[in-house]
Amino acid sequence: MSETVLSVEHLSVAFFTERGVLPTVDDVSFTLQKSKTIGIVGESGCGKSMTVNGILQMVPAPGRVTGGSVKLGGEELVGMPEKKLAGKRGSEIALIFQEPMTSLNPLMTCGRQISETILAHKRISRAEADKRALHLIEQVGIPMPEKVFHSIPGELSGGMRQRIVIAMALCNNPAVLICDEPTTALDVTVQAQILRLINDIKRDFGSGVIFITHDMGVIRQMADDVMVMYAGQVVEYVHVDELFRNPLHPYTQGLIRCIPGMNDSDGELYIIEGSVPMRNALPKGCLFAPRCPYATERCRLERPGLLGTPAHRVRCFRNEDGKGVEKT
Amino acid sequence: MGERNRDASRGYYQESWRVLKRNPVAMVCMIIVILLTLVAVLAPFIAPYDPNAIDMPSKLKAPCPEHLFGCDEMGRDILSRCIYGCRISLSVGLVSQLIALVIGYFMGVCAGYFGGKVDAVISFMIQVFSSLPDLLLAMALMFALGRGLANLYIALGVLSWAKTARLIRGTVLQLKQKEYVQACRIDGGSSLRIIMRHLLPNCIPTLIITVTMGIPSAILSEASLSFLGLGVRSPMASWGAMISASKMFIRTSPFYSLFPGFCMIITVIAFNMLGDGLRDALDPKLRK
Amino acid sequence: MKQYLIKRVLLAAGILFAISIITFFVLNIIPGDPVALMLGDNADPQAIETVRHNLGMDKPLVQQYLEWITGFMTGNMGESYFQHKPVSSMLVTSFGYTARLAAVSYAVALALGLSIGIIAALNRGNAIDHTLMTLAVAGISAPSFWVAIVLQIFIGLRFKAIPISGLGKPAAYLLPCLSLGMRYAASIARITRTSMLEVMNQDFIRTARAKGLSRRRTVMVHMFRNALIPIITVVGTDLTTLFAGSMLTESVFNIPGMGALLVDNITKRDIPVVQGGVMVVAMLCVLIYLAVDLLYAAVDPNIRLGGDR
Repeated sequence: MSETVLSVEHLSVAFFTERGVLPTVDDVSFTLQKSKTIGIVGESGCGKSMTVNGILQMVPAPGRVTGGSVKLGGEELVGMPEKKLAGKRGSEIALIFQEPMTSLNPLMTCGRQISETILAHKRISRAEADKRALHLIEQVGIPMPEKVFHSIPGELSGGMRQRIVIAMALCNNPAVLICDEPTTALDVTVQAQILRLINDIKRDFGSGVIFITHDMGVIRQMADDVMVMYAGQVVEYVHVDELFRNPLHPYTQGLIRCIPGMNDSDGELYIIEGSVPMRNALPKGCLFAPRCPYATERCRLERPGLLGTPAHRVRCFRNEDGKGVEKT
Repeated sequence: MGERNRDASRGYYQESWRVLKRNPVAMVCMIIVILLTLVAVLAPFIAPYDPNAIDMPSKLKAPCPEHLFGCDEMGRDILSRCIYGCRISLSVGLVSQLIALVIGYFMGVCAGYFGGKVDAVISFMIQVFSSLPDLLLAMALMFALGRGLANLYIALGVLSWAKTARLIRGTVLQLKQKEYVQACRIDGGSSLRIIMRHLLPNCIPTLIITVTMGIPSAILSEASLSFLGLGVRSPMASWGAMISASKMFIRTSPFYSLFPGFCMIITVIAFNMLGDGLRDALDPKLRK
Repeated sequence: MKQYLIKRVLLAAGILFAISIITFFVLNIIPGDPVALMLGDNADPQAIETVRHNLGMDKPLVQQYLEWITGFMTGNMGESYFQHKPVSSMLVTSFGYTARLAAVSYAVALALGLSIGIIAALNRGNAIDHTLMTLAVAGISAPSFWVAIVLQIFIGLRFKAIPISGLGKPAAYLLPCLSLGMRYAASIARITRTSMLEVMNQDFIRTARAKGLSRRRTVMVHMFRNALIPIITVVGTDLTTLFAGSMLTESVFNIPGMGALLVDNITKRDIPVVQGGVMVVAMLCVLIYLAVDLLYAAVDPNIRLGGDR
């Protein structure tokens, strides 16, 4: 029986600006099992990273979590005092960032950055923490761990830094590991190595992984379940195999068609016309309607809920009967 | 060639003006600066008395309806002297910064544009000048030139050119990378033409900011020099000189010290905050 | 790193050399003959000539410069025209006062400025931030000599225990150091705030929070150290203007420091004293800039890295 490590229900995040309230994450729900990966995909600006911030209770001002619940191992994070939250972050729930170049403190040695994370959560001596940090550096596949331990980030390559960030995220055996576009900034070869490392970790540590990316190819490799987000909403939520076999939402279909073929990267590319709507000018009806090739009058006037079967949820009127639509 | 002065086109200034108008602090400071300028220009019409008219019977008279700010040790009206002091402060600020601007722009452009040895020499000079404390250099220059308003303009102008030059050099180095300047160089445009037609318009925002930010520090330097007795010649009414004279009378007539100081603070704050606002409005890097 | 150091030291030496030339020629090509001043209005031209000859003032300027600079480097800065004392001993005495005043003032300024800047940054946009920053703008805009007089009027004259002149008792430091320190506290507070805000938005601060570090550790270890580099630059510039600023404060509080010495001798046209004083201050400033550069390298290992490659 699988064990639920994180359950997110109706999570909403909004920004309160001079120009009004901008909803950024709208009613997102999912559950994450041990040793499973849930993928979140979507274009930039669709609310993927804000969902992460919402889960960690780290939404930057003037934004905040406006509703819903985030339960980590049964404990509610929304409304938890900051001190107690700090005890959870980095130990039970850890984060790997998009930009290895900037997500490490440029002035502190890599070893110290890892060991301070351990020390923040465990009552052990500095020497012990350093020893464990060194071990972790080795574990994430870095050659010459001792040298790297004493290096500052500026001396390391992007791939190396990302390994350090991963070692840092792992150092307290987190139940949930959030990877926010961990490979976007890296070379393709390095990307493959890091992805393999994350899969190994999932196996060895038994963490549940939330994997965020805009790259459909990567999602196919990494995820068990996939959540497709558009303009802050989940538009499709389904197992990865089903997603690629039978994508139901026109947006998902578009994203899949956007994946360049293995060998024809300079062949004709599919493009979804238009762009993600501004949060202060959301359409009245379906958020995707302005870009949707199938949009009807109803789509423009009425906003669809998350429809479909429990195993395959989709936010589109074309799927109201739960049968799915023909592929295009 | 519509792209040529893209960075400093009319639309750019309209946009900057829009940003500035939305900044209430900067707007208030701008109004204060305009008022101060009016006071300086219209001093003879506004001042109730001749600033240098000695009237021993009313010496050190406390503020009263006839003399709103009181009278100094020679019975001169402090309000009138403050009004004329505004003239000196603003003119020193403006003229010295214009001198600095001309020297600084020329040196900065040459350093940035020609690079190589020219840059090395000018950069070294910039470093020499910025290694000395402003006031010390100004003191030495005033020592050499002698006291007086014109010498103040020169001394303060000469010592603030380095700051302008450094900024302009940086701006030019960036501009040089832009396609349109390179294209013009390849086309065989003369250096002078490139400097005046292409680089100058793009340096104007930087120049506006440095002048606005330089004025308050020049005003402070003038006051400091006059306070030390190395500024204007007496009996000229400079705020610094007035504060200096007043320090003998703090026990009996504290008002004498306070008024010129308030004038100074208001002026300097207004220019500083206006400068901050202009920088935010004109510097596209910060606007983004 | 070594190369970086050597380059910086050579540059500093070059700058000092240039400053010595500028100082010497600015001070020596001046209208108004100090000798005529020394001997009074009715001096006999013959006598003036003799004195000029005795002081070596009839030699070509270049030769005078070379003699002065070689003397300076061996610690012999010449003799005052009027007091007939070696310039070096006069400078040492008055420098003591200036150094003490400057050191205490700047210590006050650092403590105040850094904490105000950090507090303002952490409270960005709210009333605390606005109040502190308005005070800071007032602080950099008010001339320190005027602040000194205001403090004398409102504190010094009310409390007998606080002297308003000299640096005799420890209590005498209060007003001069407060008036001189305030300005620097304000400029440190402003740059600290700006620099902290810049660092605050960077990814590694998010990392620090996501790692579950305490707020205190995040602010002091991760933010502050990274914010320090621009602050060091300002501190460097400040320290150089501190000598100039203290001249004004000295004049208000009748402290016989460098300021008094220079102003006095500028009025008297005692060139050797002025020349020596300016050179010593310039030397200190260049040394401070050098120290600041080395401090960068100490704070930011990335600079050491760049130096090696």
